[in-house]
Amino acid sequence: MKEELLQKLSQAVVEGEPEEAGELAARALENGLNPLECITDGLTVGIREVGQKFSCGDYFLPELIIGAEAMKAALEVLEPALIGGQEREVIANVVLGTVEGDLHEIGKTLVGTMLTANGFKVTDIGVDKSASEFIAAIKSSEATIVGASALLTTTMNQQRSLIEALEKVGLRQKVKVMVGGAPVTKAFADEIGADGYAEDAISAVDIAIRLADAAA
Amino acid sequence: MSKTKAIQKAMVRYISDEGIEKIHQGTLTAMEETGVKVLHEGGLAMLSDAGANVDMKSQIARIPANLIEKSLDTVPSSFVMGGREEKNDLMIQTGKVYGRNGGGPGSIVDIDSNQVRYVEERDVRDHARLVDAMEHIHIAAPVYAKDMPGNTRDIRVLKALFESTSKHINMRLLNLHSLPYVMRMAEVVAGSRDNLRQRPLITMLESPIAPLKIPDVLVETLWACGEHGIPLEICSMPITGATGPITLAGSLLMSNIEMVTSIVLSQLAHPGTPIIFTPRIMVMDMTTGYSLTGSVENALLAAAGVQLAREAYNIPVNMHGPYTDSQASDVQAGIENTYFTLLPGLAGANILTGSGHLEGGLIISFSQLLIDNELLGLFERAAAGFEVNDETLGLDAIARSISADNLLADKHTRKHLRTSRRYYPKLLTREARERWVNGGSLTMADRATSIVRELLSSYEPTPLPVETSLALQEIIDEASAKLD
Repeated sequence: MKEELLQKLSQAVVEGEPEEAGELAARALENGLNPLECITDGLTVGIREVGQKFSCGDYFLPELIIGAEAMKAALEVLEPALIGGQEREVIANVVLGTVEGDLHEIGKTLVGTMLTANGFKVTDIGVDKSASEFIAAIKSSEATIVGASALLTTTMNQQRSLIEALEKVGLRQKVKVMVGGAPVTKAFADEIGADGYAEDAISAVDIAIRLADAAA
Repeated sequence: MSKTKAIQKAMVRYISDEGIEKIHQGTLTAMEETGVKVLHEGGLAMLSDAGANVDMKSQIARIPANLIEKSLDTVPSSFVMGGREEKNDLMIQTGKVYGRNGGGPGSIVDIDSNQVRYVEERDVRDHARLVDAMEHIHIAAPVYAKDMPGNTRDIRVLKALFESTSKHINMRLLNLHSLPYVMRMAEVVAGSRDNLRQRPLITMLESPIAPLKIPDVLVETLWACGEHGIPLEICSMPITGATGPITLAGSLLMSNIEMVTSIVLSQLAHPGTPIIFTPRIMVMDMTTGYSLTGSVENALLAAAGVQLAREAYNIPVNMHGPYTDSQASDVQAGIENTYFTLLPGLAGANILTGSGHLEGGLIISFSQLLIDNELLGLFERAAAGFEVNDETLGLDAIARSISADNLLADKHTRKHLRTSRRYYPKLLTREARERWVNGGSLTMADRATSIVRELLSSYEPTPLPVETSLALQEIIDEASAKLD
């Protein structure tokens, strides 16, 4: 029974069924399963398979995204049920957002999906967010990495402002900053003092892993 | 459908009549039932007053068909775009095609090191000067210098352009606050507000944000353009599978919805304002998330978009051609730019944009600018075709040929020698191999680079009168005091 439920949880992720994943998670809890086990032996197994299928070209981005959504739906049920000191293993907590004055979200969303699929816990605060909104999210999610996206040459400067704001509130040492977006370059990232720059969603994962290692 | 067909010689037509009608009907349905998000209070209020169903809280406007048809009726099908010098004036109408360089980037391939670096003010001027020298590029779009103060960068660049070229300028804002200054500067160069309206020396470009969002800067720019009679390019850029449907028809429909909504917002406030359909539908690579610009599917969408705007609405179209994802002036750039110019061009685009762009429009290259200028020249020749008539059939010459060795000195040959059109490219080689090797085995990019150096050192555009420059500087100083 336990094995069956864990298997079904994993399948719900692989097949990208958020509703079913949520229901299965609830059923698992009702049946006395350990929520942490459901996460590691159900959800993580599923998302790993999604990742593998993506790497070998069987799955594409939409399937990666819906798989991550299914996982998220189940986590929403399972995480509150974790007892005492139990915590699901994540590589790091990350806050992602598009900077103030900028409404573009696709790139940031893709980065979020890739990070989630690769073991990060991502809080996506959305678009057009001020430095203080980023900071509030960093504090409440205890993030050690923040990713700021900008698609316009005019909003790129907000990435610099974010770093300055982090310094001002004394958080700069505690949070690694990654930046990205079409007009952003490594030179610009270095210029503003960012810790990492990713050209695309796939390399964002490697950068984030490196930053997580450094922060640890 | 509100307009009848008015194409002369569209040689590429992917969509059937029924398909065009379906896209138009789909647009009406979506605008009326789903609506569009207009992120501008005044815009929403205007739509509501005109009879649209507006929800101020969600900012969604559901626009009925009668409003749409009324707006489509007042958009002009042809108009003048002026150059600082009248010889550079353009008539935007069916049957004429013009080139525009790719504007926007802040990075450039350095001509000496071949590395990519930030654009500086000298590049802005050099770039516009080169555009001024290009035979097949008729509209100049600026690039943006990093060494200019950020809050007034757009108007500083505009002054640099007025000083570096006497061709028509296509302008895009970096900040909404620059809008009134841009209009004042254009008026100064035109001489008066009336002059500017008669022969607009600038067009502007603004983008909706897919899916279905009309940002405030777009509404403000539509209205400012309407007040001054300046044509506006609506640059809708959905990405298939991401910010638009994954199906090509679906994203074409999305771009049409955004364009038609912009037209309604424009025409309700200022009926008769020229609008140019300027979509750049991107195609998402579903393994990397990259928004492709130069793929075959992008080019199909470009051709289809031309057809849609011309056949459904008789509105002028600006499409990319060239557009490449290549980082260098290489064979890939050559291939992508060529099909990208041919397909929308042969569909009847009025303006072909993108000369000089590389890497999906993220950087510019002076050598590529020259190569693309050549491509546009080749395209124009391809589009012009050739006449079949009694004279050109040359039966008399053929009759003489049976008893002649060749027709080289025949009177028919000599008669048509200068009028039977041949395109003489400046950058294409036809040399025998030995001569080519002795010349240094130069590639097309090499040849382009060497001509770029020549032009940069010797070409001078018609200068802008000093008083005009000073007047423009005054406006910039005024803006700078407030904004920088």
